[in-house]
Amino acid sequence: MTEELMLAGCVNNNASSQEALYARFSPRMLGVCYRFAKNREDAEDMLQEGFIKIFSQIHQYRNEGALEGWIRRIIVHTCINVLKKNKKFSDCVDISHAQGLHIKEESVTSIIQAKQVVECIRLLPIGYRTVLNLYAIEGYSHREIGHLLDIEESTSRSQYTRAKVMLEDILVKRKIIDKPKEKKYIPAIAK
Amino acid sequence: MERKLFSDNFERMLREKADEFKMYPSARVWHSIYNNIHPGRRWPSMTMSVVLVALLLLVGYTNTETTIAKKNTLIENNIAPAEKNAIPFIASAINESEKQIAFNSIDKKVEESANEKTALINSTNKNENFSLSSTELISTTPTDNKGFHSDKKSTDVILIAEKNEQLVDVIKVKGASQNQENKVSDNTVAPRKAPGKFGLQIYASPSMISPSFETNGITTLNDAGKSIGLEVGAAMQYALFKKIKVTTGLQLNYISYSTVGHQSTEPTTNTLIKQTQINPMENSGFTNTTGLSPVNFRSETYQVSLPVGVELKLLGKEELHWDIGATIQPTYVMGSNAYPSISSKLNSTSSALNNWNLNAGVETFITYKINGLTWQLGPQLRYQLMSTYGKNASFNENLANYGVKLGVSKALP
Repeated sequence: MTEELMLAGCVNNNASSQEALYARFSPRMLGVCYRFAKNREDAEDMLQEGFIKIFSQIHQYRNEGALEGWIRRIIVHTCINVLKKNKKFSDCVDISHAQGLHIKEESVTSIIQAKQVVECIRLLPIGYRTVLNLYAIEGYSHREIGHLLDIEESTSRSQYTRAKVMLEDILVKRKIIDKPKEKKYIPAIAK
Repeated sequence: MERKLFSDNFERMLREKADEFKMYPSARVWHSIYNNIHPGRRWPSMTMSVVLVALLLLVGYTNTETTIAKKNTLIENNIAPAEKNAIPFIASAINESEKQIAFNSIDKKVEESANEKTALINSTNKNENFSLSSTELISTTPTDNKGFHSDKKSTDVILIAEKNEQLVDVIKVKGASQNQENKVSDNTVAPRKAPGKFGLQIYASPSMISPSFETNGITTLNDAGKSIGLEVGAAMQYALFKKIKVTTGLQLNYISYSTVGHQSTEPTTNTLIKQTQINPMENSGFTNTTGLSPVNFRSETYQVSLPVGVELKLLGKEELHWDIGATIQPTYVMGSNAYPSISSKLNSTSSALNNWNLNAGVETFITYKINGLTWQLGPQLRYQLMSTYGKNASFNENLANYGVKLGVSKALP
C-alpha cells in the first residue's frame, strides 16, 4: 500500500489503512519510546497513546515534510507528556538534583551495536537521558527543549553536556567507542 | 576543535544507532489502539470470548468421557501382563457343580494368599450354557515393571472365566483386603469416582427491575413500577480451591419495564423517541416532561452476557452450605424497544442506545447437594454500570435487577 493510499484511508478512518500505517511505523516508534521510558511496558503505553493521537489528528497532516517526521514528533511529545506527569521526572531534570545521581550498572548483554547504544542511553539518569534524546537524537534545540520540559535553556545545555560526558564514559567502558581524544569517531565493533 | 569534531561524530553516531534501533510491540498495543479508535467494532473480542466459552464447555463435556476412558485404561494397565493376555472375562451364573468348583477354586487360592480373605459369588442365576473353564486371581493394584504387585494388602480378588458362549450375570467379589465390592459388569470395571474440578450449571432468575434516571438538566422520567426481568444461563464452574470456584458462561437477559411520559402536541427537546434496533428514531409524540395526559411506556431489551465470576463457600458442609458470589458481565444488547429522550445531538440515523454495556452481579445462596446434583437458591442483584442510552440521549438510565436465582449444577468427573 502506498503512503498516499494509506494516508487517505487513515483520514477516512479505514481500519486496514490504520493497521498498515501502524505496522510500518510502530517498530521504530517503539524504539523512540523505549529510549524515554523506564521499561518496555511504559514504552508500549506511550506508543499506544501516541498512535491514538496520530489517528485522531491524521487529517491535520499537510504533506509538508516526511510523514515519519510528523509521526515521530507526536510520539516524542507524547513521551514527554507522560514523563512530565511523573513528579520525580520534574525533579530529575533540575540540574542541581541531577549532579548527585549515579549510573545504574545494569547489564547490557545485547551484541547488536544499535541496541547496545540505546541500552547505554537508558542507563543515564532520566533527566540527562531525556535532554540527550531530544537534543542529540531528535534534533530539538535547547530553546525548544527548555520550552518542552519547562526548564531554562541554560539548564538544558548543562544537562546535555553532563549527559554526553556520562554517556561517553559508559560507551568507552563498554568498548563500544574509542576514547574521545581521537580525532575521528570509529565504532569499536566496526574496526 | 578535536573535541568538537568528536562531538559531531558522536552525536551523528548516536542518531544513526538510535534510528537503527527497532522494537516490535506486542499485539495488545494494536488491539488497544483499535478498540480506542473504533469503539463500536469490538466484535472480534466478543467472538473470541464466545469461542472461548464454547471451548471451555466442550472441554468440560469431553473431559467426562476422557476421564472414564483414562480410568479404565489405568485399571487395565494395572493388571499384570500375563493376566492381560487372558482377556479377563467375568464369570457369571454357572450350574451348581461348576459354582462349587469355582468356590473351591477361589477359596483355595484366597486361602493360599497371605490375606486370608473370602471371595463370594453373589449370583444365583443358573445357566447351563456356560461353563467355567478357568479361574484365576487378578489384582487391580499397580504393578512394577516386572509385573509384580506393589502392595499385596490392597489386592482385589475377582473371578475370571474364559468366555464360552455368552455371559448372563455378573459375579460380585469381595475385595480381598478392603471389604469393598468391585462392581463388575461384562468386562468393564466401574471407575472409582474422584471429585471433579469442573462443573456444569444451568440457572434461571426471575427479577424485578428498578431503573434509575439521571438527567442533564431535563426533567426525569418516572418509574411506573411495572417491571419484570428474566435471566437464564449456562456456566462452567472450576473449583480453584476447596472453597473458591471461578465461573464463566453465557447468559441471556430479558428486561421489561414501564416509565411514564406525557402526551405532547408538538416536538420539543424533551420529545421521547421510540428506539429500536431496526428503526433508530421514531417520534413517539410524547415527552418526558409534563404535558397532556400521562402515558405508560414499556421498554424492553434483550441482552446476551458473558459473566465471569467467583463463588466463595462461607459456611456449612459438603451437602449443605452457604455461599456468596460476584460476577462481572460484559453485555451486548441484541434488541430493544426503548424510549430515550431526543436531544439536539441526536440525528435521524444515529442510535441513542448503547449496544455494549457492563453489568455487575452479586448473589448469596444456599447450596444443597442431592443425588449427584447441586441445587442452589438465593437472592441476587444485577446492576447495569453504564447507561442504557449513549451520549446522544438526554438522560442516563441505569437498571438494577433484584431477583431470586435458582440453579442446578453437576460436577463433571
